[in-house]
Amino acid sequence: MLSEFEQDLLKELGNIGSGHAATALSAMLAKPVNITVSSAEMEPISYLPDRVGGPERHVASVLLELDGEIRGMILILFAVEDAEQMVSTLIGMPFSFQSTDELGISAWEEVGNIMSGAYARALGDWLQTPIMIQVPATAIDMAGSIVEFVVTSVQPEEDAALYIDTTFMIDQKVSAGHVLFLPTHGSLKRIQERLLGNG
Amino acid sequence: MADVLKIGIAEWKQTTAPNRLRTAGLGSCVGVILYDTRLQLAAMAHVMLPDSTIARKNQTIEVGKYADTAIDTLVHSLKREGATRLQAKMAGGAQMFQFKYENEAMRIGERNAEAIRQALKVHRIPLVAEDCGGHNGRTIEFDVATSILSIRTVSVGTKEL
Repeated sequence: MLSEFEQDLLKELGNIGSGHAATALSAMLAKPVNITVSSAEMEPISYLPDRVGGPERHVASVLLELDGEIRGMILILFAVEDAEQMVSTLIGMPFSFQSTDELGISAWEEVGNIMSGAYARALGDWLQTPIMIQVPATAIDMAGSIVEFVVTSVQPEEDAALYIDTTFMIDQKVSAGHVLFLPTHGSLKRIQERLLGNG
Repeated sequence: MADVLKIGIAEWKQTTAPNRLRTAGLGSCVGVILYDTRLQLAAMAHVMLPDSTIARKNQTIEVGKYADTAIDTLVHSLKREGATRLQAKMAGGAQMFQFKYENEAMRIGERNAEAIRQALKVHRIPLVAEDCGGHNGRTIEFDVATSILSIRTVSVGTKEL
């Protein structure tokens, strides 16, 4: 859907965001954190459930609303096992989403906050406009249900989302995370204009 | 051989027994089934939005996407096959995330379910059973031969309507 140049540009944005996120997480954990971007794409929304492991894949997600000149939502998705492992590393004890461990849940939401803040900053810097993020909300459920809910909440008539695949390495443990950015119609237009050099 | 027909977001399909109709990962969307037990005939739509009037002008409307156009299309298609006594079942319309400050757009699941109830009323089709709302995603499968709707969720398990 995107040219090679546009893909590289988005990937670079993803890299900058990942750099910010890794630094912040590393400071929070007092452990080395490395995040790499394996791919960045702009894709039709209907492809998204398959990109995150199929509509019925059990995932952990954090959703944050964006505010400012760029509007939309950022959704962070991990396979449940990977998210639990990451939170366990964070709080230094075993964690499961089935428990109602508040320390674990708030650590998880903090990961979402840090990550989306980092990507929003990278995007905002590139577009030269500050992007604010609102309080996070969590859902642990089927990937299809989560993506669908976000898509309909943001902008029902919109057909594309920005999609960044990342690999996390915390304390030698590897997990795969997905970052979805769903801009509203006007915001998507602005990003595309900037991509084409007219912004 | 019985087939399981898969219905994606905003799609709809029609079939006869012994086949089944299935849609996976319903969030705020609603899966609605209209069926005629005498003919062993059924159709399912994966409805995404309550009202087709919000679609942009000059855009080809995907009929399965909106509650109003989906019900109209299903009724029309089933009647063309000779259906006379239609009944309905539906599931979905969840609120997947709980925010402190909710805007109207986030209540879309509830609005989808209500729009379908209204459209069924207009066509005088009885809604035999429904499982809507809550905070869980659902995968549903309708067995045309028995008219049983199986609903699977990650946290609550499977139930039948």
